[in-house]
Amino acid sequence: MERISIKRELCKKCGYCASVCPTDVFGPNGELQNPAECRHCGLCALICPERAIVLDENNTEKSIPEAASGPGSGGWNKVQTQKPGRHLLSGNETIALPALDAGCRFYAGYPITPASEIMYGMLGLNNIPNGRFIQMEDEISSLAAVIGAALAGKKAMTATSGPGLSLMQENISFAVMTETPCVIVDVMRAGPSTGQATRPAQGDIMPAIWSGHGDARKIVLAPVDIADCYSLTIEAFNLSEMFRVPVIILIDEIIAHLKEIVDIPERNLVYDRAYDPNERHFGPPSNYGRRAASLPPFGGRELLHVTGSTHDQSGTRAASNPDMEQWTTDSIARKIQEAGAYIHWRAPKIKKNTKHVIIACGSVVRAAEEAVRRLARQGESVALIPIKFLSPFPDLELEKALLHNPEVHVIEMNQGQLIHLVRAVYPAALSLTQNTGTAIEPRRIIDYFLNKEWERRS
Amino acid sequence: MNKNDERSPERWIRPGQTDFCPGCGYGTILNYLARALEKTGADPSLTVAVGGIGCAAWIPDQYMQTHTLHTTHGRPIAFATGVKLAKPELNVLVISGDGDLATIGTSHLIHAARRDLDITVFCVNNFVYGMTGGQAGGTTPTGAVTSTSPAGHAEKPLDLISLVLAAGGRVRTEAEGGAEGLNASVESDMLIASGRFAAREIVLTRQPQRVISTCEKALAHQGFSFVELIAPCATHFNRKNRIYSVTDLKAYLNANYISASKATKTPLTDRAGKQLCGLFKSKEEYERLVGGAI
Repeated sequence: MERISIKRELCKKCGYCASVCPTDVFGPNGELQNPAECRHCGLCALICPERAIVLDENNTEKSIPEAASGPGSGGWNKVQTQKPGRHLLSGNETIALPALDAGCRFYAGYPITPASEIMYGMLGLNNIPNGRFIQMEDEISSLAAVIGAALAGKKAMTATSGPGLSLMQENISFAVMTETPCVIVDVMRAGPSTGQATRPAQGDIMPAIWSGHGDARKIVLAPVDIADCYSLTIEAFNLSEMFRVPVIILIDEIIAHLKEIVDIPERNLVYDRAYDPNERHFGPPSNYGRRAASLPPFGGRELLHVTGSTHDQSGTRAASNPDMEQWTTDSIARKIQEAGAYIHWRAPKIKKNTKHVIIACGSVVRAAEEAVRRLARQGESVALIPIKFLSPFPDLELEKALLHNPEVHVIEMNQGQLIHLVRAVYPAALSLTQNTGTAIEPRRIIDYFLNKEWERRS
Repeated sequence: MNKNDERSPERWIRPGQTDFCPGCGYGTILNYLARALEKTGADPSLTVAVGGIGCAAWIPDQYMQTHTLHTTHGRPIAFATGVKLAKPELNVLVISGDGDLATIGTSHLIHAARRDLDITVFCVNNFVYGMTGGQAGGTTPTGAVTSTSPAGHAEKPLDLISLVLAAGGRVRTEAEGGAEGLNASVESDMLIASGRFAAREIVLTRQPQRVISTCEKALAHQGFSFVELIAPCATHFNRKNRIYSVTDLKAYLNANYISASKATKTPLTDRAGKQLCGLFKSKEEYERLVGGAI
């Protein structure tokens, strides 16, 4: 009986076996030349890149370990908050509280003005069981670590500013493709580049919505005040876990450092990731009632294969199949669309005779609120629609709110970004911008409505 | 006993032929890793194999029967940091190429070594960017012909062993335990340089058991461990550098590498220009063998 055989269908004729065999059993292309000479040392079987060499002992091929049994607990829970009651806090100080209340147990970040205070708040993770905080070597690795932790089963977050968001682009796209839940806070400062690092702006609206290469859609939320910083951060984690998408929270430097009274509730509704054994891991959920596929964590008995390449529902690469590419990008876009329906944003009621409507997001909303109030005292009827959901953009709702054809003024602290989202719904919208790295004051908005002039600052 | 629970190195590998080129050593690395993992007694369902982009990253991502994470280019160590810190009980290993870990992602390698993060990094060095057509990278030997250095590579390659040994952090005590100790405040007098772990091995060798044993030691090592596995790219490096057969490849490897044990018995002048293979635990030890500061 021969002591050695070769699985021809696996062999690539590389000749590795011949190069290590002490007794010339093999020819230069790996053919069996002198099988009788085989001393059964096993070197060839070890060195063979394709495991094509079979020694005469039993060669048993093993199958995949059995999946775990018992569903993971998850879904909606009422969770006690850690610091209920009334507080005076800045946006940056606030964001760590809802993150921890929502169950965030991992933070990786890199220092950057004006977002660093969020990192200080997240230091509290080190005092929480199973909590972990790490300061990484850059923003690229911060988001990478966040995604790694999220795949290991933790709710995870990072915070940064514009330049850091730029560095995170590739991994944002990775999170979208691998359907990894994570939350990224971007505190917008005046740019481009280093720009005015301590000054406010809203230049990252489009960069956040379209962050990541290759059609990577995600959810972008924009708080307008400190209360929003609390509630929308809870919402960000819920949306992220539910739909398995990265969620970006976009605040400008004014909201980041403005101190306001915020009422923190006793309890929050918090969504925890659930997984069903043997469900597919990617793509549309097969379980009715679920909004994204079931994600088993690393370390469970069910093996998880995650790849940024286009993949099928089990995570197996399908990098040249046109149907899979379309199916993947479509299912990501569909999730974002469904998130829009789930968010169910309603525009404020606007009286039919209102002639002017201001549309704004972030801190500009605060200035506009004050301006609208003062203008009303002077008999000017101006309404305000604050935009808190930038992606998915509430275009249908906005269209309904503007059915009576008012004059629409989009005010923002950049060279015109929100205007493009609004014009897609309402082409006649007017763009009013201020790119000075300073806050838009109510006075300027009032002047505009009284004198109809939005002059550049001299 | 469940049939699937039977212990065999094969249980770490997904069945079927690999997509690696004929003459590529990456399938062999898969064999070595499976055996090393089996020897450590690890459990595939508690093991996460992380890879970046490139042929070497396919070793875990396409063929390993563990949890796998196929990340962005250059960042597998950063992803692994998150996985390890989130679940310190997991056995986290990074398997990726030289371009990935030591060119685009060098900073993560340095900082993981500095933090003494309890992961094992296998850097598969094939001297070029294989998947994109054989361009020169940070580890391409001086003089080598590649698609971006047709007249011979002018730059000096990075010595990954000395890099990791120089960056390596201290060893934590048992009491500090794994990644748990990462944030613990510890007196600085506990620095033990000998605890660093960096190894270089050649894949095509007559002593595969030695490579397997090095990999096993690396996996068992508490703290950051690094193994550089030399497997020149058969398609893009070998052919352009007049290595036409496995015999030529062995001659090339013999001419350029020497084991540390042999090096101690060979005078420096007789092994000039040769890189050391073996397991190194301190920068001083490595420098002494190399014969001067790096």
